[in-house]
Amino acid sequence: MHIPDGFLNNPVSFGAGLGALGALAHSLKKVAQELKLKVAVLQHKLAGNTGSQLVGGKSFGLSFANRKVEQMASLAALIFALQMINFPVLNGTSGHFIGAALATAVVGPWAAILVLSLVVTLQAVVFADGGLIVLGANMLNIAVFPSLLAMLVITLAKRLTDSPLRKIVSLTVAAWISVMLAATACSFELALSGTIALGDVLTAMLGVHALIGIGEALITLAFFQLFFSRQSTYLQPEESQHA
Amino acid sequence: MHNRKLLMLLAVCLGIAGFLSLYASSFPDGLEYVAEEKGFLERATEPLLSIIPDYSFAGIANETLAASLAGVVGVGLAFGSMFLFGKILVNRSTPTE
Repeated sequence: MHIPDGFLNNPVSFGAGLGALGALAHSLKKVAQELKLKVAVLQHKLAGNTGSQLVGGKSFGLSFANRKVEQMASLAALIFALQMINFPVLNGTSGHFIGAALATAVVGPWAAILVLSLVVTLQAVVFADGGLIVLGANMLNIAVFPSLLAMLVITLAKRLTDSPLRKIVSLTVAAWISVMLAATACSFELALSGTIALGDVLTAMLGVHALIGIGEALITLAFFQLFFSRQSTYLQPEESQHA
Repeated sequence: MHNRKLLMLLAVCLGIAGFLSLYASSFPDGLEYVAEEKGFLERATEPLLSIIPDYSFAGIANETLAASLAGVVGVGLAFGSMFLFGKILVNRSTPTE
């Protein structure tokens, strides 16, 4: 899924770069706001209480922020590791995990965008995996678009039902569909660059990635259940989030 | 995240990147396959930067060790840089009183 340099023309690479920069700036602002708000709300709540609890309030807010940072760093490490594992799909093709749905389920879409963008940057800069000129396009395809779509699926599922199966079903759908969106975005960038006709590349990309998406869903479910199911995550109902 | 679970997760990451990755499929990935089939694979240019190309240290003769070490270094870099970046963000976002 990582586009190498040469596949996209300069206008598309530049446009995608601008888009990715905008998304990064917005995500950064959102995550910073969330961290700040949590601390401020707790301080405000406790201001009316005895002074001794104020200290506890601030440290609770800070421990929330620190835990979120730990989650983001662990996700970066896990997603980097899992993206190394290409699994065979059909007739001599392989695919690998993306991780946007997993990251979004655990830390929300904005932090997920930061985590995935960091991984994609590391891969391009250090491991020559994905081009540097097309880094913005890879960020959009692998970090920005799939994380936002995963959040949409998770949020819709929360509104539709509170069945105990909701978590598993919404994670599965989010994982699979986010891979399909990544493949779609990649196809559009290739077509816009004049590399290949849209119809041609889109059907081929979606065909292969429909299978890769099944792997994505299985890996997402397994690692969510193993390591994140007991933490406060974005899969929980609104009222108990971060509780 | 409890520390024990965090350490377990990191150990799993190192295991995946340092060991399991040696057994990863070497078939072309989805995009590469499509590029090959549709005839635009040769458009790919040489990477501008290749510090550890193909997830394997060039300077190490033993291929298994070279690949394994590259994975371990990558996990370290991913965790370390995200952690550092997050800490800076927390410090900047926390009102000081």
